[in-house]
Amino acid sequence: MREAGADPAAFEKFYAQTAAPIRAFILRHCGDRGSADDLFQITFIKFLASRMASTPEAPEARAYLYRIASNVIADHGRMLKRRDRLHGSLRDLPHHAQTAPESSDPKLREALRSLSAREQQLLWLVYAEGFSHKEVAIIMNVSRASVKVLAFRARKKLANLLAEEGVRA
Amino acid sequence: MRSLRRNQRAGSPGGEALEAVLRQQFSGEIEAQRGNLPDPALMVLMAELESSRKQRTWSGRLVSWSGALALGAVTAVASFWFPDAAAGIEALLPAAVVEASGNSGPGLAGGLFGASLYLLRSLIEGS
Repeated sequence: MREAGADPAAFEKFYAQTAAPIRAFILRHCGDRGSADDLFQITFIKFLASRMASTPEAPEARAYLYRIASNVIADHGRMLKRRDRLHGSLRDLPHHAQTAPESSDPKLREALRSLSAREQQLLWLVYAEGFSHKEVAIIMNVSRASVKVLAFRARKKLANLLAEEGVRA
Repeated sequence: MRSLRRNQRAGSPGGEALEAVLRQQFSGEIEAQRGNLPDPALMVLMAELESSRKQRTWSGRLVSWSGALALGAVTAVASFWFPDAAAGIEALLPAAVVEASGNSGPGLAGGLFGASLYLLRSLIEGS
C-alpha cells in the first residue's frame, strides 16, 4: 500500500510472478470462478495493506501471500458452512475444482479431487511452487513434522489412486 | 515409462513419476490463468480505496465518540463551578450530546457519562 511505502514497479513485478499461481491455487480450492475472483482480490488487497507490501521483492513475500490466500480460502469455507447450516441444506460445497484445464488427465483430476483440501493445498505448495517443508508449515500454520506426515499420506493416497486407475507417468 | 506403483519408494510414495505428473498438472492450471488476471494497477487502486474506507470509518468513529464524551465531560465538570447555571444545562445534556454528535450511540454514551458526573457532583454536595 502507498502508506506502507510500496514501490509500484516492484509490486508489478511481484504481481506478474505470483498472480497466475495464486489465482490457480484459489480456484482449485474454492471451486467456482466468481468466488475465486473475489478471494483473489481480497488476497492481494490484504497483501497490499500489510507491511510486506513495502518489500515485495523479499524472499518470504511469496510465502506470505500464500498464507493470506490460505486464510482467505479457509474463511470462505467457514462462511459457506455457516450459510449451509443457516439454510439447513446440505448443498454440495464446491471445494474442489471444475478448475483444471480441459487438456489435463481426467483421472488425475478425479484423483486429486478425492484428496482432502489440506492435502491438495500441500501438494500444490510443494510441487507447483516448490516451497520447502518449513515454508509450507508456516503457510499452513502447522508444524514441520505435520507437513512431512501430511505430504507422505497425500502422496501415498494419490499414488494408490492413480495406480488403481492405471495412470502411467 | 514406469508405472506409478513401481515407482513407489519408502520415503516418497509415487517417486519422481508422481512428482512429474503433479508438476505438469499444476503448471497447466497456472498457465490457464495467465489471460484472466486483472491489471495490477487496478489491484493497487482497490487496496487504496479499501484502506481509505477503513480510515474514514475509524476516524469518524473516533471523532464521534471523543466529541460526545468530551462535551459530556466538560458540561458536567463545569457544573462543579457553576451549579445554578448548570442545572438547566444538565437537564438537557443527553439530548444536547445526541444532537451534537449526530450519532445516537456515542451521543447517548456521552450523555450518560455527563449525567454520571452530574450525579457524582450531587452526591458530593449532599455529603
